[in-house]
Amino acid sequence: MTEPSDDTADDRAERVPGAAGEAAERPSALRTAFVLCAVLVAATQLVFITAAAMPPNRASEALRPATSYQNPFFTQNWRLFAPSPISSDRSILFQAAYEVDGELVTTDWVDWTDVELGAVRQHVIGGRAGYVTNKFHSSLAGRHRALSDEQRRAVDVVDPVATPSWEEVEQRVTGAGADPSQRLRAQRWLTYEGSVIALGTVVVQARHRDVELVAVRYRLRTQAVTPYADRRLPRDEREAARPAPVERTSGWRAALPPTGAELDAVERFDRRHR
Amino acid sequence: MRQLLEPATTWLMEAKHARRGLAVTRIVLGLIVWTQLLVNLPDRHYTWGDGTAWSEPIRSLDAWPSFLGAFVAADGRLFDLLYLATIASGFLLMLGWHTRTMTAATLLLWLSMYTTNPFVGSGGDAVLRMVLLYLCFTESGAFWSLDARRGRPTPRLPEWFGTTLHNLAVVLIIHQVVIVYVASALWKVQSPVWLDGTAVYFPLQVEAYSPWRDLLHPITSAEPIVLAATWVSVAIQLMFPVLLLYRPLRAIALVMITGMHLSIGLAMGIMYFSLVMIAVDMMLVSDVTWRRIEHEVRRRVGRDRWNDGDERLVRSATEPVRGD
Repeated sequence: MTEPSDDTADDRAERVPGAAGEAAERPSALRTAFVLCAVLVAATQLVFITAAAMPPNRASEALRPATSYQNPFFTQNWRLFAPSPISSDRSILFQAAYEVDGELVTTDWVDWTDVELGAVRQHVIGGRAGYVTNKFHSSLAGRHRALSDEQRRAVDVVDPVATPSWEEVEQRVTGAGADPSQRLRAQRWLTYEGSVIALGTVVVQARHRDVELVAVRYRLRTQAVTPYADRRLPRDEREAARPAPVERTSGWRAALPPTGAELDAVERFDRRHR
Repeated sequence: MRQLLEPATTWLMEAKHARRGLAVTRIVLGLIVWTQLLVNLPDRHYTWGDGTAWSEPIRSLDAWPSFLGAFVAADGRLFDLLYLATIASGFLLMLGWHTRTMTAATLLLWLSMYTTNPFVGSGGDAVLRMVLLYLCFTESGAFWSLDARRGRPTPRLPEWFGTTLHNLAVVLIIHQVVIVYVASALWKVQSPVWLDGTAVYFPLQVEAYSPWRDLLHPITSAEPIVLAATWVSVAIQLMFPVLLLYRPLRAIALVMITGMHLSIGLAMGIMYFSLVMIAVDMMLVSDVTWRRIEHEVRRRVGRDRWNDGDERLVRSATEPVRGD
């Protein structure tokens, strides 16, 4: 990759046939106008991409309305390891309830993140599905944090028998002393809550195909890695030195039955990586 | 003013730059697309197909245009056909067959698939789609492609038109890769774990990003290694645009940043993310260097063949390479 010679040699070699002759001619108005427009568009893109990518500052804040055209195609989010790198294991687990002789029976918890990790565990080139719930975890946690205490309490249903309908959940979370901005956050939370319950329903249903699930809940688990200071300990002691996992269990929600094709796809994935 | 503008105008309109570098970028990006889809073939329905129906409410929050809805609308065999079409387009992009069309087709198909699951994408996918878009305006098939073997078609538009677009796309690609590094470094320096030199340790302990489990632990827990990897990666990213300006430093920067990506990819099991960045970095290697590499490869291959008794190939290898 070293480059001892002058770069112009490179350019001479790649010169477009006829371009030198054209350059000697007086450029036409059409050509000048086109080049100016193209340069202007490219320069605008350079400036706006730079503004959108940089950490918050006065200039990028001022340009924010103008940079909104970049989403979603040109979204500039280069923060995989920044500002702080990922430093905890994050899991999503599911549990469901179904009816037997008029009584509700709950299933065992299914650690779905553990199943997904089967696609990447000990694989230098792993499957893309290995990180789905890993990424979903932080979005869910963020949406829940955005709710007020009152909103959280309103949807915290601990008994599957008292599982509310989705309409009731919406009424409770949007009506719990919520101002317009909180209502907006509640709607966003509801969207994510619907998705995670749909995933939980299909995951548990794939393992219990012969029952009709009526309620589902999920658990977010976060456990920080071994502290840096303890990194030289033997393996077992390093594991013991990890901080205790932090868990949050959702309220019970009405199950959202999947389609047959969705159920088959999840069941095949589960069998392959379980 | 005229003295300032003239070199810029000449650079922009007289010659197409970085065509060999772009060819390498095209080849590696095509390789990434089709091999990645093959790796994910058994799990394709859970990752991008019928198994993603649960994410529909979140997917609908994104503002992707409806013409990218082919994979969302497809199920069963139609999905499989689209999946195979994406593999084929990536493969043909790598070979450089009708390169511009294949670049656009790969972009369209890849993006349509990408939008089906909001939780599968990575930073590498974002760079891939942006660079594929810019590549549509370049002559990335001018070298090391089936198009190049067939010969140069007569251009339908004036030469200056294509040259200007090509060079502006080159600028935009280089700018994008520089922004990835600089922005990432500026975010990092706000965090104490990057400043105290321990940041690299943490992701390597996370189960999702430690495919080697305890095998690498003696290395990833050694303080001098962690410290050096943390600080060098931030420094090289932050200084990347400056290092590009001076040719000897550019070579050092490219070697170091490629080493960084390979280390991340191998140690954390995110090889495709790393390969995308390496692919784009390769266009920063000058065409003179690529020509030398090509010449050297031809000479070595020719010599090996000669040892086997094929003298014709030796002769062709000593002839001037295409484009000289």
